[in-house]
Amino acid sequence: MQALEIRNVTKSYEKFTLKNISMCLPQGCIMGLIGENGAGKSTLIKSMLDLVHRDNGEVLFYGKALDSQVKEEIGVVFDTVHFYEMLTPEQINKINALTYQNWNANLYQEYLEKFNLPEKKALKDFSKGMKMKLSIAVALSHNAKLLILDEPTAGLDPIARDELLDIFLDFVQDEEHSILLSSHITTDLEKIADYITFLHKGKLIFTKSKDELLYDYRIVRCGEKDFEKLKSESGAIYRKMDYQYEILLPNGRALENKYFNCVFERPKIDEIMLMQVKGEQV
Amino acid sequence: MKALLLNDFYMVKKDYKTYGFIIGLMMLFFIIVSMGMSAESFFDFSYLITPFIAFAFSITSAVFHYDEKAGFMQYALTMPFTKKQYVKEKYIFHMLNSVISCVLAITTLTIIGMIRGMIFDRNNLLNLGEIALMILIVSSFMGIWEISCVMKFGSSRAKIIVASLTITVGVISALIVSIIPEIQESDLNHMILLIINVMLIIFCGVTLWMYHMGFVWASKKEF
Repeated sequence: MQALEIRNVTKSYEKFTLKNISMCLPQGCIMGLIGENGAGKSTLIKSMLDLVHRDNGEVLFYGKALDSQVKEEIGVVFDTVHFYEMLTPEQINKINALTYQNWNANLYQEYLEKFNLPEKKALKDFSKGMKMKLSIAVALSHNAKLLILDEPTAGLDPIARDELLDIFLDFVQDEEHSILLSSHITTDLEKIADYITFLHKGKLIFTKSKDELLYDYRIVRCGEKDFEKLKSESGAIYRKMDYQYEILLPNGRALENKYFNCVFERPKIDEIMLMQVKGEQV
Repeated sequence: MKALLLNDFYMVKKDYKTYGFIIGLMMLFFIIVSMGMSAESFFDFSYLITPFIAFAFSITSAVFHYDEKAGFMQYALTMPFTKKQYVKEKYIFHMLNSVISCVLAITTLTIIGMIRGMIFDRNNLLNLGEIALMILIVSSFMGIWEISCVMKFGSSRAKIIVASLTITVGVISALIVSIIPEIQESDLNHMILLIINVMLIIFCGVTLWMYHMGFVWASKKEF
């Protein structure tokens, strides 16, 4: 069963179009959504949640279209907290208890203690990191099956980020729960994501498993002579630097023995992103 | 919807001391001012309804401002609420404010009546009932215009639109009331009264349409 299916979603603005996005998030997995600023990540998330009207396409959550019942099973975290700043976590608890049928006040309390969030302090006195932790505590406390997180670790210190990543891994442990996580912090995605979806200028460049990206892709830095040989390989993307070429090879692992005089390096996700955005295809 | 009402209540609660002070001051002011007035019935104090209606309107307006500042509507729509429920809750919230304002206005009038030794006979009680109804109707109209304009134009512009509308309607009403004796004596009194009634009906019709459009504009809203 797919936790999330996006089929041919298109959304146009005056100067930007999210074009024909189709992808699936399998149940029990974590998908990282990456792309440069303005790529369309937030627009895609808003299109999924009917916060903007799609021009075309369909979005299904566990096989169902979005309605009030489906929203019970989705936890959403945006990059800022959207409760009024004079509210306290205690008041937010009471509001959510009336909102969600499966609101778990004890679990919410546990997260407040775990994240060191004072229950009776107004949100206006919280730091950015504390507000983000509160949003995540709320999202995790109503037995959601799917979490949609838009930059949830932005503004958090490395220790807090690490804690949250552990929580996200625990969340999907039972293979019933899933997470779609949009983030610029690609190192976080390298740690926890099962799949990576890359958007660029409103287009879906790829949806691949993280393992394929990290273990099969290779970057080769070489001179012109080797570049002329390598550029013909399938899917090669290259950048001409001052004194060398950089080539991204999707099936680089298989080519290591073929081009044994070249130095093949495993790329990080942000290097793959950079090559996709700034590189040229042969 | 209870959750949305609770959310709005919490937003208002933080300012309860300020609101309480303003209301207390208003009531005291009108009680004191009424001492120096000659009046035969509660209708002579019907000018009181304006500030109490404005009070109800200001609370609803403040709640929209807080919602917009926090981006709450966007977040609320990721919770198990629909846009229709969100708008409906705002209408209910405004009605609750209107009822509270109405109760406060009637309480003020009752205190004035007791101090002045007015008899609470059938006529005076009917007067109080009519004033209460006027408050509820006018406040509801203002609420409908406010809420629907917020859905279309946002809270800042909605305040300007509703304030302009209120002033315009208020001026026209005052003019009509001031020339009623002349109208009654005029040969064209039936025609003029007909025109006034038609204008009232059109205004009521437009307000009902605005109520419906509040939901339509909310459904088209994007974030």
